[in-house]
Amino acid sequence: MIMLNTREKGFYGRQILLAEIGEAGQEKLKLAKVLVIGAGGLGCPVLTYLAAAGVGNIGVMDADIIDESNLHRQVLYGVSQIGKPKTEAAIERLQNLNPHIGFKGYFEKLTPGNALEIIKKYDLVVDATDNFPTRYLINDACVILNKPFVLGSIDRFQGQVAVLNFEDKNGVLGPTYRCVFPEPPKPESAPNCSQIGVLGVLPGIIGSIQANEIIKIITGYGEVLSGKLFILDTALLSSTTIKIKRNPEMVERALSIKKNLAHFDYIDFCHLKRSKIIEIDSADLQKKLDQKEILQIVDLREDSSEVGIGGSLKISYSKFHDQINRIDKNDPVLLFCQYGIRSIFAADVLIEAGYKKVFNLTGGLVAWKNDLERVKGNG
Amino acid sequence: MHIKILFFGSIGALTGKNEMVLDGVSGTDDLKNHLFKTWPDLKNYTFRFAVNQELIEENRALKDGDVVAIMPPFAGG
Repeated sequence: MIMLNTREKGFYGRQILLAEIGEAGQEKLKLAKVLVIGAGGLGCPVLTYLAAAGVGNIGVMDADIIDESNLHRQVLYGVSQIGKPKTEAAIERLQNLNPHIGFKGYFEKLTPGNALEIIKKYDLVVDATDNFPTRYLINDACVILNKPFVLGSIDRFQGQVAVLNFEDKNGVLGPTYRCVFPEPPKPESAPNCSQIGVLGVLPGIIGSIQANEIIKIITGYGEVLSGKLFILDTALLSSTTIKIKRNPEMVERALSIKKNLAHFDYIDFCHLKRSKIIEIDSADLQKKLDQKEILQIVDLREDSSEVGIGGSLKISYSKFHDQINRIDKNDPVLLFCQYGIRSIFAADVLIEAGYKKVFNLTGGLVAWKNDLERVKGNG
Repeated sequence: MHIKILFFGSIGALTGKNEMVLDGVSGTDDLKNHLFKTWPDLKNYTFRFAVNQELIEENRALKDGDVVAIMPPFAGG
């Protein structure tokens, strides 16, 4: 049994007072390991309340950096942190909120290659993502590893929550995401927040409900939202709870991917396949520059006061859509930004617009400068 | 015979309604055809039917007073 120290007893005093939590429940929270995938609109409230409640080991996963347009709903962050990785900013704030718990940041995407390795280290997973390829990947990885996960998703003024792949007290397993939605939708029929807009309070509410379910699972109070899909409409402030069932055929479908998970193409499965972005590293770029290959280099940074890469065209990411015609369609393009993340989104735009050869500088300007330093150091 | 239909997410946006009442639909397959006729674009959407708050797997006969929810997956987060 892990004991709480005096300071922890003080910190959690108000919730330990609840008979349903007590010191025993608080100790369970301290021992729990929860992975939150996505530190955006849903992830911010989930992380805040899990950290405040004292979940002892929290994994924070997100490959994105903070953008001004995130702040109206991603309330863990502030204007002074724009351009910083979300994982880093979130952990800094959460550690200040609760110094008694530990965090691990994953500044990367969940991929078929890393999913099992990362998820297996946790007891519970929170799906706080904003896209179907990752939702189906989380589902399949959790089914393969036999881990419960808490789904949260939003559309305009409505949200969905469900506790999936959850084993109840009698050892009976609940439904999975594929049991509810066997096939992913066509992308244009289920847009995300960046396409249709969102009011910050909606993910605030839905993420808080997800955190509440996690705390219930860990401490054992109340009734877990398993076997049910909860839908909240914040415009009408009405809710519906739909009974859902485990479908063995859909569970089998997820399990059948186990051997080939690392090679399963979720992007293609979700009808999002396009011609590919070509990732290149600093050494390859240097080679292209040395050989004077034809290459349009585009600097996407909003603030390019710091030196970039010589001879590049400056089109800041926020103006990218409007100024795309400054880039010649017939010649290869290399995009770079600070960390190599936004440039992927910009590369998507170019590929969709019919550009044939689009390179992304892996790791962005930060990686490029580090590599330059290293080469200098060795020379 | 009145059947209440509830629309959610992107399908609510497509139909421009949160709910409507329909007469003369015998079951969920019949309802689906009726909806496809009214909103042909709906064929491009992924959704499930829940009858009286229970997700259904195959065609379900409908009776007076039944409530059918039309539930697409949500992408956002």
